[in-house]
Amino acid sequence: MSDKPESSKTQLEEDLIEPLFQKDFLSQLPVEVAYRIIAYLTPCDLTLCARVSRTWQRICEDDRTWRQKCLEKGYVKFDVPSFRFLGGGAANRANEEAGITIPHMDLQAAHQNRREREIAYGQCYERSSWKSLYLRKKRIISNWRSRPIQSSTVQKAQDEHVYNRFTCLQIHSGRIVAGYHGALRVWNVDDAQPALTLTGHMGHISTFQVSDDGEYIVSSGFDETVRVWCGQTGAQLHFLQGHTSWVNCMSLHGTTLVSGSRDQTLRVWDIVDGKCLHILTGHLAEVRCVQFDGKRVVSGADDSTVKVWNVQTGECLQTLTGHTNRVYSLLLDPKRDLVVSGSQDKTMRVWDLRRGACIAILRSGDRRYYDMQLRGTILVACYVDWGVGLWDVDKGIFVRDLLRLQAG
Amino acid sequence: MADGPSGAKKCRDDDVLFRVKSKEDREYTLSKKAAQLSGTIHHYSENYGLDNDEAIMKMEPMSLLEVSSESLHHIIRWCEQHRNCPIWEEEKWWQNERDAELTKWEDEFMAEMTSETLYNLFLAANFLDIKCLLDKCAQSVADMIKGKSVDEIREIWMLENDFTPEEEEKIKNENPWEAILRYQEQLEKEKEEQASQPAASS
Repeated sequence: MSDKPESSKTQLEEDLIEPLFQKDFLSQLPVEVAYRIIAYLTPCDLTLCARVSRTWQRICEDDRTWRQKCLEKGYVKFDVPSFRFLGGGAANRANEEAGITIPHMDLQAAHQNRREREIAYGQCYERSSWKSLYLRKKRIISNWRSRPIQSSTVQKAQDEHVYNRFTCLQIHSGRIVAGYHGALRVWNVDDAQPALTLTGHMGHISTFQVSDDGEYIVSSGFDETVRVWCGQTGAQLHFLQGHTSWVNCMSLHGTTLVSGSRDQTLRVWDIVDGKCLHILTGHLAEVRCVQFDGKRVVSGADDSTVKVWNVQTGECLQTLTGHTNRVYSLLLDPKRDLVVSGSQDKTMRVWDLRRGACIAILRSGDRRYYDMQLRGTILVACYVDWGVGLWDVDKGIFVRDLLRLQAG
Repeated sequence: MADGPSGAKKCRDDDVLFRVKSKEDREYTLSKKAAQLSGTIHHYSENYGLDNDEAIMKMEPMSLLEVSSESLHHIIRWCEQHRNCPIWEEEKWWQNERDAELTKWEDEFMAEMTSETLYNLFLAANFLDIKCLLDKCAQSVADMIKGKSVDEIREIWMLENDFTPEEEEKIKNENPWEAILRYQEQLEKEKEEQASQPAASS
């Protein structure tokens, strides 16, 4: 029906239409009209149209249209997760803000590379963020509904040791890292093959960190040492001694590491040259948890306090008191200067670092908290016994418990 | 009866005729209410003091240099048909309710259009700022696109594939629309199963 090019061409205004073209509604009509058209397309048709040509693709990546599609389905964007869970690009941003450059990841080169690619190919890989959200949600739903859980590969430590319970685990850029008694193991996610075994620690490994670029793995354990490993080869690069009791917690930012120990101190290390930069003393009991955003160190200890330290000078900036029992878990949101601490006293406290004050006390019945994560104003925390609860940090209220899904 | 934008006026609105002139200098008339559907005409009448019936009856024809006689003819037909419709909610235009009878008329109206006339009508509707017509046109075009494969779309609109093969491959893989399709099929299947289940179990 569109095949009648000759008849009315004379009527057309030259400036409106290229005489050589058919009536390509999407490309030739004003763009706001094109958006009106694609609003009537289903998401499936929209993704398909994006493959027709560059012009169509540009139109079909319209953020507003996809936003509408998302809102119709009730899909909303979440705030990025709180600091310690940032990975990749988000962590880089945080690094930039903190004035830290990561030597192994040349941001400028990456940016240049991206620009060159855009010039060479046009922006055909640009993707509306709402479209990504829509497709992601759809994929998740469809996976949940249609895919049986495939029999997963069972990873075992090969030497069947008596103490081979894993004590810590992380997934980082295609690799699974797990710590257990005396060693760290690294597997490739893709082929489920063991890639590296990092041996050296005596006794259990309490915690480890993988650097953003995957170059370094830092581990610590009950042998009072911190070890720095090469993420590629598994070679031990540094052996950091100084703590006089076991190391409970670590936080790595760029190449600066902060470790907290049962010896009541925290130590700041440079993991590239293996030097101890500062010893943070002041806690009166075992240091349980630490968070580090590149500028500030926040630590929680068995003396019921939370302390904020300046990493450059090593001095204690603030001592946040209020908890009546050991502080077991911490969360730092550097953007809003918020700290959430979870304690054995069965409360979580939200602190505003700018005012140095506790702005909310969160509790749910008689339960203790193990760990937490913050997205926007929603705090998700898991209980020591079982289950997960949600709180609104701004309002300081308990929202609800997440019910456990029943199997079968 | 729904009120137009200038609802408080005298009742015999239909006698007051608006005069417009097409690109080819042909004159057409349309009722005041119908004319108010066009944002462009509405602004024109505000700017030229055409706010009372007397002024409108004395008016010089409004020149619509962008609109051909053919398009104008269709547009006047459309506007007269829609003059008593409730005000079009542009903010939530996808939620506007549509009268069944009117929809039928609209569908027939659209069925008459060839690609060429539809295109011109589309432009004219955009120029005259007639939201409900714009919307219907958009829907018609969307219906033409719906359910077609990429190659079919390229063929119908004679579009050149200006992606490089690598790009095409990459974009194809980046858009997991297959997963969506599968999901939709799955949903339909589930609905069917649910529909058949009560009969089977009882």
